[in-house]
Amino acid sequence: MDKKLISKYRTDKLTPSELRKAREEVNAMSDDDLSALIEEDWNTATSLSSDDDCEMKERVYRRIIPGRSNDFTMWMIRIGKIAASLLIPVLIISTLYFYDKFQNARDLSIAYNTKKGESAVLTLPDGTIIDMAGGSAVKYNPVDFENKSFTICFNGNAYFDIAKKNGQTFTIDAGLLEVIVTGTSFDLSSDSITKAGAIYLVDGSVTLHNKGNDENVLLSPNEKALWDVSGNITVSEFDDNDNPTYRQTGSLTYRKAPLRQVIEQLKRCYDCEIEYDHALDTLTFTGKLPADNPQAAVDVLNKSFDSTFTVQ
Amino acid sequence: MYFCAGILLFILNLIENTETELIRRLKKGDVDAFTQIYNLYFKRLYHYSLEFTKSVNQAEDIVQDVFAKLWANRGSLSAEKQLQSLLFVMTKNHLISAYRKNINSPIYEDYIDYCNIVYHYDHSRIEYEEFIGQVHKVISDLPKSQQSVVIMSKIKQMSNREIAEALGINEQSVKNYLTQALKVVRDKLKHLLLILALLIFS
Repeated sequence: MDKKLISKYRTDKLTPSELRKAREEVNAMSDDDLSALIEEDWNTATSLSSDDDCEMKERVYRRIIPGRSNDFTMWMIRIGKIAASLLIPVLIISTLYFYDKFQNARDLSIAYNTKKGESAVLTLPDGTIIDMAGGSAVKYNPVDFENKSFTICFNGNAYFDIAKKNGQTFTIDAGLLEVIVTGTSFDLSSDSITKAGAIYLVDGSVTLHNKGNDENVLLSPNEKALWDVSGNITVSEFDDNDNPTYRQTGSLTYRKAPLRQVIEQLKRCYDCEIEYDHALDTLTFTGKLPADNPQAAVDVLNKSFDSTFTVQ
Repeated sequence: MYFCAGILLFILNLIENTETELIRRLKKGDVDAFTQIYNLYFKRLYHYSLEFTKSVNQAEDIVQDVFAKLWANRGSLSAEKQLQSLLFVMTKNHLISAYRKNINSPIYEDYIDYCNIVYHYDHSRIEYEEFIGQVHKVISDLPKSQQSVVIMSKIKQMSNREIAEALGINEQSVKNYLTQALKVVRDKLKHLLLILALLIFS
């Protein structure tokens, strides 16, 4: 039998006479002979229709191998499901973590900074007035003012006029030391770089608290306290000649202050560079320098040390 | 470096997917190997079966049966044979019986007649399955007595004597019924299908 008849049968292209011929031959043929013919056709068949029934392909596959899918998209969906179920706890945990983190980081603090050479008067929510010299910084959290005690951070040089309190403690964190005040006026200078500082108490009372050794020093009016880098506090009275370094008057007054410290303070106040003979660093300076004119201040130094100080 | 690794992977992939390797893996019960074979041969097997049975449902049943057998008998497969002939061995009985059945069916003969008529007009024609549907529709319009005779004769392929025994009438009546009924059916069918073919291509 012609194997072409088989391929014609497959594609329904037999003529009626070919059909009758094929019928006769097939009916006379054994299964084995027929099988050989069909196999020949099977091996050469090329004109197979091109449309692919994906849904049926997937359906049959799943009947043979249950619980599995050969379809790529089904695999993607499955992988996606696994990824999603892994992601959900990760997202929940990270949400909680970051929420907690941001709660901690939520800083309502207000910070004021004066640049070198400028000065500013700041009034805190409780009425405290801070007269800040150049290069100073104050940081506080307004919410704290409702508490029994509160702390502001301070660095630089300023005159504090603390408002009167009823049982409220006001603490200034000045690096190494804390200044605990109840209602008072004083001049505070604290340097975050040299760690040293000075306080000149005008009125009221303050307690200096050394954070390093928990030592407390009580200051009375007209007393000054100086501290060095190791936190040692020296308390002494100050007279009219021994004025604080910065006051509302706008002049800088020094008594036996190391020249280097004086120059640093001038540089910060005026935002300028001062050139001088560094051999003089070990000397001390006593006197008053104007806080509004750098040239005038330098002239005073020139005369005092008989050397040349130049403002850049 | 990456290029070399890529080439190596490509070669490994090729080796992995040669038919002998696929059969070897299938024999070990590797589902992925089965899936690859399934994806490679599904389309060919399905369409070939469809062309032999001329029935979507039968073709689906054959494909399912063949691949299920392949998976169930994976342990006893011969690794020397080609996948194509392995699959044919499992399919051939289905194909032979479908071939024998259709080529002897009077409705298929009618369908071939129809195809040849349509071919003169146009290359468009309906599929055999649809043709059978139309035939059934025309038969259902016949009077009840003719209907059962036609169904027994043409679809169940019973002999006139068998029909006569089943219905309790004599053979001559069966012949008469058939002649009348088939004339109606043929006329209606020709009319219907030609209109259909013309409609499709108009």
